[in-house]
Order: sequence, then C-alpha cells, then structure tokens
Amino acid sequence: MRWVRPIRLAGLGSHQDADGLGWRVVARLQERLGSNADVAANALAGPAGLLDMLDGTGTLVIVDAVQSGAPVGTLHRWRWPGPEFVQWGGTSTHGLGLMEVLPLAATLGLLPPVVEVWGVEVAAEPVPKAVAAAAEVALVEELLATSTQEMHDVQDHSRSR
Amino acid sequence: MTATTRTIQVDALARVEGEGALTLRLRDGIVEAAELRIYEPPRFYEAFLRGRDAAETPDITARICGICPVAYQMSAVHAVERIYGLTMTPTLRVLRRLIYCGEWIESHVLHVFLLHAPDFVGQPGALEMARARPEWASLVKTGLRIKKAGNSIVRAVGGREVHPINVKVGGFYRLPRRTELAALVPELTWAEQAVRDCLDWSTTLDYPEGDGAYDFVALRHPDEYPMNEGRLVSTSGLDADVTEFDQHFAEQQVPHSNALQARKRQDGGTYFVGPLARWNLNHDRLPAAIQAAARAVGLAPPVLNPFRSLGVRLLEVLYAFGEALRLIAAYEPEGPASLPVEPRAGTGHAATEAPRGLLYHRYATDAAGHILDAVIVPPTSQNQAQIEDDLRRLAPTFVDLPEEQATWRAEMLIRNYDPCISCATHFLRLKVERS
Repeated sequence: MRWVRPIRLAGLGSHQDADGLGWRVVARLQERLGSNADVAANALAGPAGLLDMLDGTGTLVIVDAVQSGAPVGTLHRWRWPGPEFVQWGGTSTHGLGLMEVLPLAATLGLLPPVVEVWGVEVAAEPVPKAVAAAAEVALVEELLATSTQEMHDVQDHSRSR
Repeated sequence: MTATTRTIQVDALARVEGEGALTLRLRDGIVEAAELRIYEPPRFYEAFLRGRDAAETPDITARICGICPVAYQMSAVHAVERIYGLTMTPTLRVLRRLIYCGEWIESHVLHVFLLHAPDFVGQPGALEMARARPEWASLVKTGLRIKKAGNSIVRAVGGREVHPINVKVGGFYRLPRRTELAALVPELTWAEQAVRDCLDWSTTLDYPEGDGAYDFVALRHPDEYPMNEGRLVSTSGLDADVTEFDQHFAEQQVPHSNALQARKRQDGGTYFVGPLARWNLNHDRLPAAIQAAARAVGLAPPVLNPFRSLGVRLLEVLYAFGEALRLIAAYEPEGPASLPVEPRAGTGHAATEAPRGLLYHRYATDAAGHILDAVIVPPTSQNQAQIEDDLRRLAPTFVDLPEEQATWRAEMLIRNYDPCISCATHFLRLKVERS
C-alpha cells in the first residue's frame, strides 16, 4: 500500500547525540517541507506522544535510532505489522514502549492504515565521532530524499485521480 | 530451625519514567532490605550549567524531562528572576499558572489512564486493559482526549507541547492572543466534564490498604492551590521560606542508586511530596466545587493511603481544567511579553509544584549573569527514600502472596508515586580520594 494523506512524521528520541537522530531528522524535514496541511512532522520525547497525533487516518512514519548489531548508519525500513516487530518485545523502561503504543492505537481505532518505522543504526560502542557524524548526515539525506519522493508520489497519485 | 529468606526482584520496572529496579529481601518475613535501584546513568546537568548564561536555564533544564519540562522551566526562571530582582506583571503571572495547568493535566492523565489504572483492574498494561473490555477501551480513549486538551494549553502558551520554547527569564517571548486561548475553551469544557465522569469510575476500583503516618511536604500560597509560589510547609509543622530549603532537607548518596535521596536534616527521616502532599496541606485553597467533588468520591483530606493517589490526581486534573478556564476567561494580554533583564551577582532559590511534587532550584551567578553554581532537587529524588520506607512497611501485607502477585504489588506501590527516574538521575555526587 502506498502512503496516503495526511502524512504524519514522528521523530522519537531526546537531545542526546545518538538518541537525538529522530529529532534531527524531523527538524530537517520541517525545514524542507515548510507549511503543508497534508504533512506534519513532530519531535516526540517518547512513543506515548504518538497517541496524541493519531486519528485512524493517513500515514504514520516513525523515525528513531536503532541498535540491532548492524553496521553503524544502516537504514532500516519496516512496514507495520511485520515479523520484525514481534522480536521487539512488549514493554519499555520509559513509560510506554513503541510495541505497546502501536497495538494500543490499533485497539482504540486510532492507528492509520499505513505505518512505517524508519530506523537508523547507531553505535552501541563509541565509534570515531567523524565516522558516526558522516554516516548520519549521509543517511539523513537519504531519508529526506526518499520521504520527499514518497510525498511527491502521493501528490502525483492524487493529481492523476 | 533455619531461617527462610525470600527475595522479590524486579530487574526493570515497567510503567515508570526511566530505568530502575527493585530489590526486596526478607528473612523470616522481616524486611532486611528494600532498595529502589536506579541504574539509569547520571546526567550531570548541574555541572554543565556552570559557566552558562542564566538566561539559558529554562531551555537547558527543560531537557531533563520530556514529561514535566514546564516545571523545570518555571523553577528555573523564578530562581533566576529572584537574583535579578524581577517581579512578574499580572499578565505574565497568569500565563505561567496557565501553562502549569496544562502540564499537570498532561502528566497526571498519562499516569492515571496509561500507567496506573491497569494496576487496579488486574491488567499488565494499558494495551491489555483496552483489549479486555470495551468500556475500558473507551475509558483509555477518553483519557487520551483529556490529555490532548492539556497539550493544547501547553502548545498555546508555550509554543509547542514538548519542551516549550516560549518561556524566558523575565516572562515570555510572545504573549498569546486572547482569541488563541479562547479557541481552547470548548474542548477544555468538554474535558472538565469528562474528568468528572472518570472520577465516578475511580470509585469503582478496589484500592489496597496502605495508610501511613507520612510527613507531607508541599508549597503553600496565601490564596491559591500552589503551583509557582508559596512557602515550604509540612505535616510536622515546617513553615519556611523557599530560601531555607537547604536548612531543612539534604540530599545524600546511597550505594544502590545513581540518584541522590533527600531526607529531613532534623531527624534524617523521609518525607512525601506530590499530589497527596499538596492535597492534604492545601485543601482549603481549593474552590468549594472541587472540595465537594472530593467528598463525593471519599477523598476529603487527610488522604493517607498512597494507592488513593489515582483519585487525587484526577481531582487535581479537574481543578486544573477549572483553573485554566477561569484564567482564560479573565485573560487580557496587557503589558510587555517580558521584563527587561539586568544580570547581577547573587543567589536565587525557587520551588514550584511539578506534577510529581516539589521541584527546587538554586543558582548562584556572577555579575555578568553566568552561573557559578546550580542545585536541582527533583521530586523523585525526594520521594525515593519514602518509597523504600513504604516497601519496608507494606511488604508484610503482600509477601505471602504468590511470587507474581507479590512482585506486582511491590511495583504497584512504587507506581503510586509516578516516579520520574530520568529526572532523578540528574546528578551523582563524585568523591575522589587522592593520596
């Protein structure tokens, strides 16, 4: 299923270096997108904030830092509900975890028909700062380009109808 | 006969903010150790505030917590403004109270409906609760809508919902227009009534016994239910200016926690901050309608059972909606958005009432307004030792239950305090011994 409007982009994280990836991506998306009634980007301190954004319509794209053991900078893109989500477990040590929030939103009829999680692999162990920064910048750009393309596709698709 | 020992261990507490664990060790039914182990790494905020411009304190300290950033901003600006000799205009004061109402609503509603309620309906979490019964799903959905009403206040006054950007030393960057606040009224009015309905639901829950002889500590204001100002008062008779906080309370390091624990200097005893403390010490400052609502649900003070904090939080949410509507109705954006700031050397203290309780800040600045020293004592640091006392006191009421139930009751007891571990681990006292 292609993305459908309205599109909601949510960056999860904090102000801290690696964990701040979701917020930095969202900040750049906000700059790039400007004011667009069909696309909203929000920085959230935790998954529970997603519940405030959703009304059962459109597309939700969640951006977060991930540690799965893959090389630093690897871009993950998962469509909900996929097999990857099962192994994430159900609870979080920070209030409510993503794997509690998404099923809860579905139970309450708030989950949009299209939900994607974009994860960027960050380091579990310290890596040289320049290496991590370069990888992150490159991947942020790729993320921006892909999401911008998706949004153009949505608009083209909408115009062709 | 050999002694029997039993250990209840929770390696990662769920439905709290931050990373903590619990160890409860008993020998022959007697509690040997009750430890709230906070292993989330310390974050050294006080250390890296040194040398920064005091004007940066509201934005830097807000990052301590994603749930209660307004509390950090309010304590920070009031402490710095005391150094600079600023007194807020009526308009600025109203807006600060209004944004605090929004944060109380956001934080309390998140805790009541998504983190605390599952404990009282026998469900492991909000997801299972919503799946178990349609009426519970409806309740959670209502809670989310009520929370969004709180978000709308913080967004309107603070510029955004998470880590607001409109608060500054001296006031605000911009005064919201009257029409912007008036637009919130229909949803706030709906939410106020919805909270009343939820209060009725709260009376149907089964609360464990838990009355304790607590020393509650909160702010007390001459006229208002406390948020941004007041004197330090306690059940045991304390009545002190906020500048005397350090004379009455002291933080100390314990081996099992990365967060400092506060205790009373006078006797080393624990004390209790948060909604129950505010409620019991300031009930006479509430409007008659809130007092009547409290009586109707059996929560007239004193409320000494921490499990009943769920209902008290709902009552504070009800109050916050009424107060927000009152403030918006009277709001006139008169005067400047902020007062001129002239840095000077000095020391400023402030305490405000975060959703989880008293939040104390103290800053010392040089003549240019750079921070020489910073002390931040969050509510969870103050409640930690009290939580451990509760575990020791109440463990005999549940240790004979099967393992899973006993563990659940211990966790439930901790969740009564809505602890924010991320806030509490802002500082670790480091002792370096050199030979």
